[in-house]
Amino acid sequence: MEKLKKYKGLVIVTCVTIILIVIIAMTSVRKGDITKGEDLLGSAVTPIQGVSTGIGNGVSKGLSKKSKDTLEQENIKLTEEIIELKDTLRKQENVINRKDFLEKEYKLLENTDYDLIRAEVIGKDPGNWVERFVINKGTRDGVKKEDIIVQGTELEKGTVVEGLVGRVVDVGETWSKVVSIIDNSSSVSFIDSRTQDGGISRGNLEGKITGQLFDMKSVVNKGDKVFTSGLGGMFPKDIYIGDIEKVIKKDANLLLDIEINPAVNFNKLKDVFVLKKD
Amino acid sequence: MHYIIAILILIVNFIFQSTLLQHFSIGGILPSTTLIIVAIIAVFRGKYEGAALGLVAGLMQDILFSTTIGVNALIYFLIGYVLGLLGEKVFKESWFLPLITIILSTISYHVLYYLFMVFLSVDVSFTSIIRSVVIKETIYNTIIGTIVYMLIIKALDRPQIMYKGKH
Repeated sequence: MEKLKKYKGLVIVTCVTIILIVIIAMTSVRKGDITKGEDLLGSAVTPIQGVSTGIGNGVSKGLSKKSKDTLEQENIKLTEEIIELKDTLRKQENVINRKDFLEKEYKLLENTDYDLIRAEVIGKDPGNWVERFVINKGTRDGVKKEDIIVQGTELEKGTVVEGLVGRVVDVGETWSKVVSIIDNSSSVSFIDSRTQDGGISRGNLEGKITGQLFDMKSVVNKGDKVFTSGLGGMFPKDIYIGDIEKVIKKDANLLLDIEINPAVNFNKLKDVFVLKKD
Repeated sequence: MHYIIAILILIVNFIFQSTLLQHFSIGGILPSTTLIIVAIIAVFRGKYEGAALGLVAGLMQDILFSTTIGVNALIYFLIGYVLGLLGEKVFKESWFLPLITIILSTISYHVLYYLFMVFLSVDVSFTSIIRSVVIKETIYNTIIGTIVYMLIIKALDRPQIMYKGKH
């Protein structure tokens, strides 16, 4: 008994470790939906995150204003003029940018063959290993597990198509977890629209996507557009992924690698669409 | 009471980290404020509090963002416990202690995370992780952690040995 007291800490640590490892093992292979407890925690935290994300967007806007204030002190009159001009410019740019965005959204909704649900990104995983985020729509709005997340992106001048963002991995009542395609664990089977060469791509932790072509002799070029091929059934066919940025030939392991620059800007991800698969 | 305050700190930090802080990432990397808080609390408050808070912090992150529950929880739990053990044995008022504890805990976090990824058969390359994540994050964490630690030490600026005059 005395001995047990002496090692109380170690006993507790061992027990908790074993319990956690069992939980990891159980949850890493589960196919079903999330549990009631998880849903409750998510429903409690995500509204606050929504508010906090809004504040964050406000703060980063405010910061850019502040740097202008310091300029003002250096050269009062000229700077004031510049500020005024810049302000009008920014306002106009804001209108123009907003217009672009709204136009894209409008065109996408007009041309799409799919059923789209509008959603907003409200939180990102704080870890540096993964690219996961939470959106503000869940089962109540008809989001299902394995649905696809897209954003309106410009393919060529004038044509707006769905740009691939990621897929839903878990759904709560009012929120869903999304794994983006630049995450290391997310594989997408792609096809080069010019040469029709297929391959499999995966996120590479640096905001880009690395792809491996099935055929070593294929003649893909920098700048080719890459779409989903629909192989495997995880992603629907013909969704825009991005452009080929680099072609890397490794003679040693007989593989042809490409680096894809994703069409969607993942740093500024805010408004997205949930694409229902069927 | 201590636990309630600490858990509140963790919840506020978690919401802050997953939303506001995302705007301040440098080179695509965020400092892990959760790890810093768990490390500092463990050093000051001992192994049990450190381990318990690590567990809570990790579980929150896992449940909200990950499909596999428990990886972050186990890592933060172990880091909290070990740093709590360490904190009971060292002299706290030196800048060297936060420096070394935060460097070690950041690196061990990533090594443990890598091991879990290997066991869960997620294919990641360790060298690219070190290059793109571990080095930068260790630097950020160490700078922020050491500053916060020294601020706390200053705030708690009172004699640690209290037996004077009690005879």
